[in-house]
Amino acid sequence: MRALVALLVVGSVAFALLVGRAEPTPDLSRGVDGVAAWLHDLTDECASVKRDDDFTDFAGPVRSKVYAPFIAEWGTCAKQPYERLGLLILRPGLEQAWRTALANGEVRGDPDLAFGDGFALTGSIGMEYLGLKRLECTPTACSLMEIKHH
Amino acid sequence: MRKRIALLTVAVAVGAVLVHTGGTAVAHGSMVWPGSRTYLCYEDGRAGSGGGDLQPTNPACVAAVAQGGKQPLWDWFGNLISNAAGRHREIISDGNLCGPTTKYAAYNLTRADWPSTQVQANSTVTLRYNAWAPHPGTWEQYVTKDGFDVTKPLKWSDLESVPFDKVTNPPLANGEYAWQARLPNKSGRHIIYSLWQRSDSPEAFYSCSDVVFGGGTGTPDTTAPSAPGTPVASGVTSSTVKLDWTASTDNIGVTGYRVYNGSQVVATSATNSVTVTGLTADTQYSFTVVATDSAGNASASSSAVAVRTASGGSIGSCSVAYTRPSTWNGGFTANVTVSNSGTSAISAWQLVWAFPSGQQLSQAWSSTITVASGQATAKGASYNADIPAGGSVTFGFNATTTSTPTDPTSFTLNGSACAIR
Repeated sequence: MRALVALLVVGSVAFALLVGRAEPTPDLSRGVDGVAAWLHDLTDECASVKRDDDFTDFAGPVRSKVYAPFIAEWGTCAKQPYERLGLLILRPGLEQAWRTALANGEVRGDPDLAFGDGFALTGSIGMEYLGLKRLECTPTACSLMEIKHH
Repeated sequence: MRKRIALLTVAVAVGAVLVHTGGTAVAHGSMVWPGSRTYLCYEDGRAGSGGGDLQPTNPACVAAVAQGGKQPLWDWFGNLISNAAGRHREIISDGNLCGPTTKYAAYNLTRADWPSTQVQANSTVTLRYNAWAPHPGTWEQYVTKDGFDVTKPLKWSDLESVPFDKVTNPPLANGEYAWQARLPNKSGRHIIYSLWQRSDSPEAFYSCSDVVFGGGTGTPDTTAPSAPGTPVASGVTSSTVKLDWTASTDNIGVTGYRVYNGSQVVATSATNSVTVTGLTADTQYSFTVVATDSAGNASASSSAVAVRTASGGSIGSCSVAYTRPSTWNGGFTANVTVSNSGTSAISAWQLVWAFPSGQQLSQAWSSTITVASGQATAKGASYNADIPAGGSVTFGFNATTTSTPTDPTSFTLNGSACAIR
């Protein structure tokens, strides 16, 4: 029991130290390659980036209509459990576009992206360990929310 | 940084161990038997593409991809609402049960041709739910009422008022939760609606499994297939490996196989052979195979086969023929043929080779070529961006040069070195 408690203390301290420190951010001057390099450094995955020309083929016309005007560059890479995890370099304005689409009844709920500063990933699993956040939106406002640990 | 992530994992694991008492189960995913719409369309897409991409052939899956793109199939296990907190009927409107968010909305399409699973009324079966990440929670399985019409939007009132099956923290093995349940007394086409609410988070997962109830003997099939033979690996590249194994037997019939790396499913197959794709170069894998039958029974795992993928720097499954049909004072024309000798298509190919500083690219055809930092990178045009297995693409360029041109001595295709012909 003492050993378990000691392990818990060590684990909790390590956890607190880790989540209390900001993760390094991607080098966005390198675009998608910078995000991939950052992710690879963190996870040993996402070693190579696949670049698709057609974002609509990936996201479908509804979400593409909202997202695509605010994506400067994108690609995908493999990171478990995602065979194709989208790496998006963002331009300002996506939040407003989602709210407008929400108000118009074109989309429902929240954007399905995990957001960093100036970029986003398309996953939902494990994104919190990368220091990313999600947007909760109503037609009038969006809030960046911490992602609860999976 | 990797050490930090590893340490974080340890810390989380410590916490998980301490709160994870009494065999508490963990989960994250979607129903794989009877298969959910996203899962079965994903499998349909894999089969239709021959690997490497998703090209569904089932008409409903095709329609869903046309509406929602391929991403919901790549992410077939992520049909979730982050802040549901048990408010399912409050936040999900009628008609949106199968795809409550925009990303998965296409899986609400009212069609009678979604991939379906044949099941037996009143039989005891093994329900299976894939698991990517650890969480405790409760699953509820509902079935649609008698007279339900799959071509009409699915409403909450279409579901029987109480779930025919409910389980909290079911056992986890081989990357899946699996538990026994007795199917309800139904006939014909129905939807089994699975709703999983995490108990450690407001996050909830949703899936629609299209099933066709047949009459049955009333005797449940609880006999699992025999364990498959040890897989034999061949054709190992930096990202793929072909596995073959001795087929399993079953009292009713084997319906498929799941291939695992450790506890994660990396491929499925209807036959005793599969090519696993998307692997990482120079990495050790341990593959096992499990057979399943139509009642959801899973066999014991096969013995494992250890495979190390080829290094990205070694000769891969490509070769390059580089010729200069024309050379003149101050310039030359080069033609390049890139061949894929592997067993799967190479998507979005990029060929890289050294481009000396005295050379300057002046024109390219059948490819987009960029030159930077002494390297040329060629990418396919829209019509030849992929190289099929056994196929090749050819492109060319003109360049000026201040010296006698020499042919490149190495080429790298999507990170793997190519043989030179």
